[in-house]
Amino acid sequence: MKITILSGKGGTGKSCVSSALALETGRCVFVDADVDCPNQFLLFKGKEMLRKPFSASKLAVIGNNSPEEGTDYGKVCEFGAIAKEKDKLRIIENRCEGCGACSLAFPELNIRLEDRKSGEVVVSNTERFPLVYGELVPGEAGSGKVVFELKRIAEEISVHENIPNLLIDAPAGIGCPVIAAVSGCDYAVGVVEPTPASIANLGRALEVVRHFGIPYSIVLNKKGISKKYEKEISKRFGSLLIAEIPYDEQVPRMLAKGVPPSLGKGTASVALRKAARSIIALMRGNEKIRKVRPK
Amino acid sequence: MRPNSTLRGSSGRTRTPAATRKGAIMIIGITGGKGGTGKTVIAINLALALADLGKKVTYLDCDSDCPSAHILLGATLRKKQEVRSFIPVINEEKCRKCGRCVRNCQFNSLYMPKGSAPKLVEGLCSGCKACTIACPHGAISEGSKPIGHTYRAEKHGIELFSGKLKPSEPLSEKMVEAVKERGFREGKGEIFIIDTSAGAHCPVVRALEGCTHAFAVTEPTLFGEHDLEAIKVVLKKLGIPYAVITNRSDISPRKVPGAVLEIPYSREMLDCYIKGTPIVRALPSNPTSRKISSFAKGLLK
Repeated sequence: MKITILSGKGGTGKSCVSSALALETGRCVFVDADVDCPNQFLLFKGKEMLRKPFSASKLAVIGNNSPEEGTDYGKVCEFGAIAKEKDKLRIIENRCEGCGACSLAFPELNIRLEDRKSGEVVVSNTERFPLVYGELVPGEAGSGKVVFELKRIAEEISVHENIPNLLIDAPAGIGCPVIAAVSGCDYAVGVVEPTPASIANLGRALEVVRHFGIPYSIVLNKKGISKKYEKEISKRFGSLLIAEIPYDEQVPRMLAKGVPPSLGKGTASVALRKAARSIIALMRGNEKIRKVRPK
Repeated sequence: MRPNSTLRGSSGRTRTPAATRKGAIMIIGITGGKGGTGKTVIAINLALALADLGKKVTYLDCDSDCPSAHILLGATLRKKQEVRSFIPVINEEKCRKCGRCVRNCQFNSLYMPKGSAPKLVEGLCSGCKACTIACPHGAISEGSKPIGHTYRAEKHGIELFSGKLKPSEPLSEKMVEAVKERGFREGKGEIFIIDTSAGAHCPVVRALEGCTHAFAVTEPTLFGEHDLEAIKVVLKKLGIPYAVITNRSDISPRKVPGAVLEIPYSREMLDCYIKGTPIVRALPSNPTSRKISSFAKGLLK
């Protein structure tokens, strides 16, 4: 069973809910798919079993930099990555997507595509579960490809060690790394806080989930900060809303210390554990999941 | 990067991500790495505080995955414009099934079923046109797909440009470029505020390119501080001078070193966030509003 936790808007509590779920599930491979800003390894320390460089994109490198006068070299690049400086061309590295259009259009420049070091993928054996995460070089492209690679590694581990569940903590947004996290999952959990920005953006994230035809349920986090929007959430999601976690000042304090927020005694910790158990119950009964599958 | 050093694409679409609009004195990027630290709420309030000081402010919401500046501002998005991206259209009569386009697609968006012309997986296409150049038979012509919309709005005396990526489309960075392109073309601000999405990957880099200043908004948690380091690397790479703002500075005993502005947690700020009226406008004499206003004054010095 592959399950992903997402929210659209950042900072609503994806990492809190997913870390609680990982701890309660017991047997799972935990994937932190936020490859540009991974955080779970700060909560779950372990022994690094694997760390390898990963290339998610290419970079055009000019072999013969002697451009002809009067040729508009920039026009073939859809990403605006070719600049002309005096009588030389320059590839603007942070714009180059490595598509190779320039190398096809101007064979005389002898442009080759080289692998870029996009970042590293890491597997760490924590006390409770293997944690798979990525460390993208800040500013690099190809975060979606890194997420696919993390999922591939996690699947290998789950087959090899006979671990039934794969848990994926998706990044904020709805772009390529989120699509990569959601695709191929059996179930999704949306985390929402009672604010209009969070509700609107969860809606956008759920459109991605529905695009893949994946059943989902919703967890309300930080309950207590707005009655009005709490009502709206329960009205909008009805029976899809399976758990509520109260706003609790203990949570940031625990996160400041690097303690997983479900391990405390506060109201949010208790509710996080309860939410995790509800999600696990849903994951276990395929029947139940079919029941909440949206139209 | 100098604006003129970027050449233009053949599609006639201007490429002005790094453009510094004439007359604009400042282009301020607001970013932070971690999501939910308060980038947008601080950016909106800063924009209003600057407008209150008599400046014309144009706000570009460059989080096209999950735009929320209009919600916090209580503005309605209008003047919708579609943004499209290139996709190849394969003319099956001209196609000789040589497979060059498939081999030269770095994004694996083309495949060739046995005995048939190449097929496109739209969701993977980056719009680079390498296939068009690779095809020796002229069998690929220019098509396009919608990837989202840009909008504009006005409220409380500031102009807002925003974009919405079509869900399930991966081209966030193209939407960011479209918002910036439209904002710089239509916007009349002396000061541009660019609000980025969470993270430190391509859409954030696209948003920050061309900024003259940047603020990284963080919070005093392990996560916030870790992600701040990632965004600092991006800002250094881009050569943008930046400073750190700590939001909810008192939610934990930690202290983010070197912050130029610290905003403590306040129930009023949260209420204003939920109501969709920025605190600088709703409660101008609140300590948080005063702090932001005097910070804005300092920026103009």
